This record gives sequence, C-alpha cells and structure tokens, in this order.
Amino acid sequence: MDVHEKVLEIIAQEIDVPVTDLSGDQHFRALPNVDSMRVLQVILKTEKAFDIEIEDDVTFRIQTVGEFQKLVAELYRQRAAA
Amino acid sequence: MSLVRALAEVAGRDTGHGIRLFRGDTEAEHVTYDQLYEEAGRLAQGLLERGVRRGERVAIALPTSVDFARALFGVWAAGAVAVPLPPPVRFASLDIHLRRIALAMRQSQVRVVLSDATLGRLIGPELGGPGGEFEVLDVARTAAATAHHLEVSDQEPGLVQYTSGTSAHPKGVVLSHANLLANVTAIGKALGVTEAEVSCSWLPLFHDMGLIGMLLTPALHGAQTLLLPPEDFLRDPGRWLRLISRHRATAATAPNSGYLYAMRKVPPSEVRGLDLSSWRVALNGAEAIDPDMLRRFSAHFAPAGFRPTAFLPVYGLAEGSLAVTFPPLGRPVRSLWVRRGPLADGVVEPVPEQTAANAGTGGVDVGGVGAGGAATARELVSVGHPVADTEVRLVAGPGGEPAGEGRVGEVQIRGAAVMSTYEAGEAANRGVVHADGWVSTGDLGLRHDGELFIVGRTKEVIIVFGQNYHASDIESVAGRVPGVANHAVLATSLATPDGEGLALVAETKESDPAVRAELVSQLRHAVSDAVGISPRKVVLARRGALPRTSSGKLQRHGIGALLDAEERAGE
Repeated sequence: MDVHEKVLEIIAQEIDVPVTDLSGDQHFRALPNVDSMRVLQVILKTEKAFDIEIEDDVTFRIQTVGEFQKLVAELYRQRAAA
Repeated sequence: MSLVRALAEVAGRDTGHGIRLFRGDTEAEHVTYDQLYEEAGRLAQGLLERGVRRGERVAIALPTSVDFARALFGVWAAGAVAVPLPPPVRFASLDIHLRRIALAMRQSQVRVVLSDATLGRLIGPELGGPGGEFEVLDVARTAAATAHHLEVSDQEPGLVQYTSGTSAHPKGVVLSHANLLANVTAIGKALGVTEAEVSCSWLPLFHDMGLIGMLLTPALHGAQTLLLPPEDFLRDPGRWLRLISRHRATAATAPNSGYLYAMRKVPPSEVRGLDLSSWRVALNGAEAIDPDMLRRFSAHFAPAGFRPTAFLPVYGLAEGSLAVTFPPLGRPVRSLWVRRGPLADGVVEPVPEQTAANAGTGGVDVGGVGAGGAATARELVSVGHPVADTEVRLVAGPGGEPAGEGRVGEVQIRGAAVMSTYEAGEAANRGVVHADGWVSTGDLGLRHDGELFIVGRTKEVIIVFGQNYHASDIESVAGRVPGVANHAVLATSLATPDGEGLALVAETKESDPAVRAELVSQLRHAVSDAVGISPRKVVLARRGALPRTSSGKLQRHGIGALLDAEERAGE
C-alpha cells in the first residue's frame, strides 16, 4: 500500500473533493469543506487505516497535506518495525 | 462567599464525589472534591511563592482535564482571576493561534500561564522562555508542599471569559465570585440539582457553557462530574452516550449541532445497546434551537429510553455568566408558530400549528439568511422564564423603550449573575452596559404567554458548534488577503443541514478563473488559520457589488439577497 496515496484518498473522501485536486504542498486550511470535525475524522480514519496512533500535540504543528503524509508514513514505518 | 469557600463546603461533606475524566470509553483520572480543594490550595501556595498577587489575571491553557479544575480553583485560592484560553487548532498555524491568545492575555495583563507538560512544550517556547513576555508553568510542577487558601470578597473578580479574541479588541467578560455563584445557584434551583445528580459533559471548558454549566454547577452542588474531552466526542459521539448509559447520568448539555451530530453518527443498531432512561435534563443552548431536530433526536433515541420531556431549550450568554432563562422541568418542549413575513418586521402573528409539509426547512433561521424558501410560518421554541435573581426585558429603539405587546425586541438582562464590565472597560462597555445595570445581549426575542422565544440577533456573530465567531474578526482577517479589492469582505451566517455555517462574500477585480480559484483558497486559508472555522461558502463579487451605506461603509443588511442570487446563478 502506498501510504502517501492512501492518505490522499482518506482526505479526498472526507472533504468530498476529487483526489486529483489534492497535492502535498496544499495547506489543510485552504481546502474546501475543512472544519475541526472533518480534520478529526481524517485523523481517526487514518489511524484506523494504518493501525497507528497520532498524538494530539503533533496535529497542532502540521499545516500541509504533505506534512501529514510524511508523519503517517513515519508512524507506519515505526509500527512495521516494532 | 467565595468560590473556594463554596468548594470547601462541598469538600467538607465527604460525599466521595468528584470529577472523573474519561478518554474514549475509559476513566483516565479521578479526583474527589476534598482532594481537589487540597490540591487547589497547594497550587495556590505555589503561585503565591512565584509572586502571583491578589486580583492578578492568570491564564489557563489546558485541555479538558483534572488539571484544568486544579488550575481553576488554584488560581481562585491564590486570590487571583482565571482567564481560560482556547487550545490551538489542528492542522492550522500555531503562530497565528499564539498571536491571537497573546492579544487577550495582554489586555488582561497576564503574566503567568498555567499549562501542562504537553501543551506547555508547544506554547512555552514561543510565549515564555528566558526573557519571554509570559511565564508558562506546568500545573503538576507548580504545586507547593503545603496548601494555602486565601479568602477573597465575593465582589472581587474571579473569571475573565473571552468571547472574541481575533480582532485587535478582544472582548473579555469580567465575572465576580458573586456573579458566578449566583448563576450556579440559579441553575441548581431551576433544575433541582442535588448531590445525587450525575453530570456528563464533552463541552470545552474554556467556554461558559462547559465551564459554568458542566463543571462549576455540578461541582459546587457536590454532584458527580463526568468529563469527556470535546475531541473524543467529535471522533465518536457514541462515547458521550455510552458514558451517560453506563454511569446512569442524569444531566447533560449540548448545543443543537451537538445533538444533531450525535444523532447522525450513532446508528439505530448502537442505540439499542444504550440505556438513556436516567437522563432527566438534556439542556440545549448556545445556538439557534431547531424544534424538528428535538423531535427527531427524541424518536431516534426512544428505543434507548430517552424521554422527550428531558429536553430543555435554554437561553444564556457569557455576559450573564451563563444561564438567563430556563423552561419548567418535565413538560414537552413548547413551541409557537408565527407568520414569517410580519416577523421580519418585528411583528408577532401566531398561527395554528403547521405541518412539516408547508413549514419548509424547519425552525433554524440565522441572521436573516436562508429563511426557508416559500414557507409562510416559522416554529419558535420557548426558552422559558428568567432564572432566579435575573430579569429580562425586551426593548425596541435606541432609547431602551419597551417593545410593545406582540412585538420583537432586543433582549436585555439584569441581575445577580450579570457582568458589570468588560475587561477593556468603558470603551468596550459603551452601548452594551447601561447605567441602570441592564446589559444588551444583541439577541432578538419575543414574549408569548409570559415565556421568552429567541427569534434572531442583531449582533454580528456566526455560531458554529456552540461557539461565537464575530463577523468583524473574520472580515478583518479576510480583508487583508491580497486580491481582495478595498478590503471589502462581509462575513455572514449560512443555514446548512448541519446547522449554522460561515459564508464570505469578497470583492475582487480579478477575472481569470485560475486566479479567482486561488483567491478563494487563500481566503479559506486565512480565515481558517486565524479563526479556526472554514467558510462553507466563499463568493467573489465584482468591485462595488457589496451593499454599502450612503457613506460607503459596508453593511451586512442585504447580503442574504446577494448570496441567494449567487446561489441561483450557480445552478
């Protein structure tokens, strides 16, 4: 499974935009239909999809889609290594 | 009596009750009221040793936690004044958040910020650090070995509740110990709260409804206080209902959108596993109340034993501590159908009860936008009578003349729990705090059979998930986005199936579709980063298209028609 692609799919599905409209350099807060609830749903679905746990304080530091993809890939790698 | 003295009385009763914090479905931490009293005293001693003085404003930057309660009562036991701050926003700029809370802290002359290890690591380096403007302290590391509880007069301030923080002029409601205790007592009386109450809440504690309604009220009545962080509720609202079910909770509160969210996310298969028969008061406030949602929620959760008579549509605001009017207990929600046309002109013309078919989209009307198409009547919900030691009047006109019989008027409040000043003093009070103690709410209401019905509002706020966002704050942020002509942006409420949303209309001279799409994205980004909510709709208009007064000032009146026209053009 390509982590970066899967993360984009989760975001696209949650905010209801075509996955082709998303790219790593976009800021979450510039995307349409983003609110606190949808952001939490993205986090929740990502955690479930990869069986990882994303700490709260990390989410306060992330701003772009690419930063989130990188974080998920890193957590997924750590989990696989554990 | 001070708030600390009130906690001491509860602690002395030895009920074994206290605050229980849940993360997900499991209990993460628990403190009894006598432990809380002791720990607050130790934190107070630690604050006093660090030079905190009586009356000094101390900020609280903490998530929903037992530490929050320790910090709150600790600040009070030191004779200081608590200033709760909102947490950072996920996937948004931390810098912008810190700049925003720093504005409020500067206005309140805050020096010390109480936080915990996790949040402290995040905000500490920027706000505190060597030579920093603020000192960020970890609650767990600040407590002294011995406790000290300073006695203060109940006339002294206890809490500064910020209702707006993004603009250069944050609005902080200053509430005295007497104000807060009067409201806690009034809520207790209206609901018949006893030690046997089990309160269960996910509402944020930096906001009046969570702080006063769901922490102070149960705690100072010696009742069990169950807390769930708001993010846990948002991830799965079933957690809130499972807590109520398992712990036989009797009192729980949410804004209209919270009930709607819970209803949508908890499927019938999960409802059957719940027992909500212990839930005797389900308060609904802080937002426009949709009577149809109340009926649907009641039907959805009826298999779990939820009683429709538990629903209590209530009215309140931070300027009145929290609660202003409550309906009587144990009766079905009372509603009133009125004709929409005359209502728009402030005239109340009741009509017989309507069926859903000719009533259009239901009762939630916000800011005059999305009035529900061709429907001719609107259903309003009674929020009952003023709570103890509180007066409500409806005024029409700038001179405070009473609104006549059958007329809509601005709701004004006066009483033991009502603030006497904003933190900024005279400049902020003007037009809101009147000489005889009456305070303008910016809400519009009518009286029918002696009960209050909220119709709309004159204040320019957008309410999303129970929280108020000032249109002027949003406009000042959006107006600075490059590509917006003459800083001309108006922010307004939008009625959506999920409740109230934010709509922006911005003027621009750009015509290139790609440039316009980028501008829309920049507007979303700027507002969402600074304010924490994303516009549901961003409309670009040509220069000069926004309604203006004769002197050229933008005016919100008429923006609804512009949005509607845009909607039709887009179809």
